Amino acid sequence: MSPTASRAQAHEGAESDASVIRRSLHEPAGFGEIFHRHAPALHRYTARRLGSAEAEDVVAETFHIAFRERRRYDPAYPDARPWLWRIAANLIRRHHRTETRHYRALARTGADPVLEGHADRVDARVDADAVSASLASVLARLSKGDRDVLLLIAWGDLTYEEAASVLGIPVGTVRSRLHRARRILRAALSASAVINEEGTR
Amino acid sequence: MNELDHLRTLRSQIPERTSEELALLTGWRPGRGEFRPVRRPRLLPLALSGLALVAAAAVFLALVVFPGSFTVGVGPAVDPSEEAIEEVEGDPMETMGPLIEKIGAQEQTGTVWYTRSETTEAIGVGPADDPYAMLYRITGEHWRNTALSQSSHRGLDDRWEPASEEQRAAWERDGSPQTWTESTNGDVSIAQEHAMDVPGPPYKDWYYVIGDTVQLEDEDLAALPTDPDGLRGEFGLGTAVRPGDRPLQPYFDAAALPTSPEVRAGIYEMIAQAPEVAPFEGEDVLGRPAVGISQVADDGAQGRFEQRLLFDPETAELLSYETIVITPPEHAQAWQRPGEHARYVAYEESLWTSEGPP
Repeated sequence: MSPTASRAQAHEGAESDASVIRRSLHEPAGFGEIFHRHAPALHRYTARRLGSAEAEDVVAETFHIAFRERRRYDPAYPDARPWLWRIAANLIRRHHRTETRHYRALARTGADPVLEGHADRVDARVDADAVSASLASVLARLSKGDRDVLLLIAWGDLTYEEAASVLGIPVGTVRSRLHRARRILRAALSASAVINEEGTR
Repeated sequence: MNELDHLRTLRSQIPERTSEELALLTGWRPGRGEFRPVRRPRLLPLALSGLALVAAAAVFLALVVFPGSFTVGVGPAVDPSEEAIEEVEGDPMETMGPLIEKIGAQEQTGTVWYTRSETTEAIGVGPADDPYAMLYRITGEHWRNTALSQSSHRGLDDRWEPASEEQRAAWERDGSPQTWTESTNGDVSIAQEHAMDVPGPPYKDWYYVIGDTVQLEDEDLAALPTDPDGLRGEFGLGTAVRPGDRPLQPYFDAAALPTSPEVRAGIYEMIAQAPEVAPFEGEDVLGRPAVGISQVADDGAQGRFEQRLLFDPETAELLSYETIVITPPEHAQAWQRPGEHARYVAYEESLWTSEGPP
């Protein structure tokens, strides 16, 4: 089932985000329903990019901004996901250097810094294989624009149209950036496979 | 598995938290004051047993449904003014080094410096209860005859555009106006006359400004040194970060000077040595591939911004000088959004020529 279909089904019969937001203008606590619906997916995406600590701050600030700006929300859009993710995307960009540092560390050492905050895992540090290291090496080198598009699609499960809305760019630009990023990833993974076959790192 | 599947394997290593857990971890609840990042002790993950989850759900209900009735001891909030400044990562010479070589190897063909550029400023407009940001964009051409010390300018276009899709929605709610009688800060008559479509007569009363204080004439440009230390001395630049919300302004002013290739190479090296700048690689505001430097400026009540000084990686020519909002200043919080451009200058073309204006 596509992400969009599963999200639509989850909210089928339920009050739309737009309606919840409109109601929250008079009943502020009702905005908690928006947090309940969207915070988990947003946090997981952000935590994969920045780590738990920064992800919690980004999520908190996203919903703080959203709550403050809810009066401006356009009720013509029943699903608030692109709006919320747009706010978060701008906040995540502030951590571009931190994120790049994480990928370089994973590529270089095999230790995944963003996993070290999850103490409930038995193996908080998962030894990276050549594939993870190759992925991380590419992610570290991608431009902000290409990285955002790639990860919104791969980790955020957004559609092309949703990613375009979040980033404020045409759908065609989403496609071209994704195509470019995937081409670079494929080349890196192919090289990694060749290295593995030869038994060297 | 394709490459996206491999990426999703990385994501699968991150557990998905429930909204109740996140409410506890983030401390978020509707209408809770100003956002401040909190550094909290990592206690919750160890306590995620079944009973703890039930307790977390109760806390969520209390925080969201009955705000103010429950206090969670998550530790002291961090005063933003005491937050550690984000470490600058990377060596700016990574991006500027290749540019220095390319610009220094160029030939100066002619004594007229021609530029076509776009200058844009975000302005708050609209009704008091639903203000929004519009970008006022002016495109024009400029000729500087360095041999005769004469300048000519021709305006090509000026137009207004919403600063983002979110701002467009507010603009449309306002009826999509094309002119306004005043901005949100009370400036009157901000409706601009359309630019002239013919070059104006050459004028001689012209000097170059570096930052706010240094003024140079063509004779001064001809005598500029080529080493970064000497250039810093001429431009009045020190080793500390320039205060205010435009720390890169003098570096942009220097990069835009019509100087010889050798002096430009020295200026680029000076830019690479600017205090607390980071290398940048990506796109400029017009979507062109760009490399250069960036810096975050924190000006207290005037907000927090990222400034970028960007160049074409192929030609080494100056592309843009951009100011991007991180936290809007107090006076603009009603209409300016993080991630939007507060202002920028983008060069569409810049070159030495022997031809003046038509």
